[in-house]
Amino acid sequence: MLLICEPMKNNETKNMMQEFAQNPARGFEMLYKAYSGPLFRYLRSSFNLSREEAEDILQNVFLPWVTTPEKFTKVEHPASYLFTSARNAALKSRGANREQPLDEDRAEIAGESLATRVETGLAIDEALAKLPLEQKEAVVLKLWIGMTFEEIAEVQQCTLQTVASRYRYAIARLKELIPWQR
Amino acid sequence: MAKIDKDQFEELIERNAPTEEPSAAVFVKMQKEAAWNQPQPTAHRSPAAGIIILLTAGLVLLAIWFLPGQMPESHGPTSLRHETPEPAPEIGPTDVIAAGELPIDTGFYRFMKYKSDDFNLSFHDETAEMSLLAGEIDRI
Repeated sequence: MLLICEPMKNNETKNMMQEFAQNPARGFEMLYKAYSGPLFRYLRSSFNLSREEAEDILQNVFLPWVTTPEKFTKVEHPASYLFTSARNAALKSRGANREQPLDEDRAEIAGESLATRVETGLAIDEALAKLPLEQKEAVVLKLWIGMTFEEIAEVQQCTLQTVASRYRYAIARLKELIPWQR
Repeated sequence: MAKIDKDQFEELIERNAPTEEPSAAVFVKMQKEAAWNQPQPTAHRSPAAGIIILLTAGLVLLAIWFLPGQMPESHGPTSLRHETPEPAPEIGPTDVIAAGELPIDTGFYRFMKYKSDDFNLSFHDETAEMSLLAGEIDRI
C-alpha cells in the first residue's frame, strides 16, 4: 500500500514543491498523484462520507492549488496542509459523523461468517464507525495513511500526547469490538 | 518520540486498509479550472485594453469638466470663460500734468482766464505776462 508519508520522509516532498513552483501543471500532477488517494480514503473512513461527498471535498481542497498556484509555492508540508484543509471541510459538511452506508460489494458479505468479515475488513469498518471521530482519525491516519504522531497532531491541532492517547484508546476499543486471533 | 512497535492486531488493521481511489473526473474538473489551462492574454488584446484605458481616462476628464455643473449656472464653464482676464488696454505715455511747473493749463484755469483777463495763477505764465505787459503799455 502506498503510504502518504513515504514522500514526506524523504526529499520527494521538497522536489514536488520545487516542481510546483517552477512548473505548476507538472507539480500539481505529482501532488495530486501522491495525495488524492490517501485524502480520499481518509475522508471516506474517518468521516463516513459517500464517494460523491468525499470527491466534492477533495475537489474543494485542491481547487485553490490550481486556480491560484502562486499562493501555495511556499507551502513546506503539503500533506499537513492538505489533510488539515480536508479535515476542516469535512467537519463543516453536513454529512460528517453520520453512520456510514455500506458499499454494495461490502453489503453482500455482511451476512458472511465472522472470519470472512474480518478478512474483508468489514468488521474493522463496523468497529471503526463506533469510535469517536478523533480516535477513528488517529487510527486511520496512523495505520492507513502512514502518518507519524507528530503529523497527526498537526492535522488534529492538538498535542502529541493527546494523539498518542487517542490512538491507544482506539486500539484498545477496537480489540474489544473485533474478534481476532491472539 | 520512541517508535511504537505495531502488534499483530495493528498489523491486521493495516492489512485491511482501503484501496479505493477518487474517480478520474475529479482530476479532469480541476484541470479545466487550472490557471495554466486558461487562455492567456494575447497581443491582439492589447489594443482593446488600450482603448478601454483611453475611454476611462476620457470619462474621468469629462467628469472633471462637468464637476462645476453642480454650481449655479451663472458660475458654469461659460461664465468662467468670460472671467478670463482680457489683455490690458495699451496705455500711451501719460500726459505730464506738471513737470516742475504749476498746473496752469488745466480746464479751470482756462475757464477763469476766459472770464477775466486779470485772472492769473502764475507769474511764470508767459502768456499772462505778455497780456499784463500789453495792458501796461495801453495805459501808458
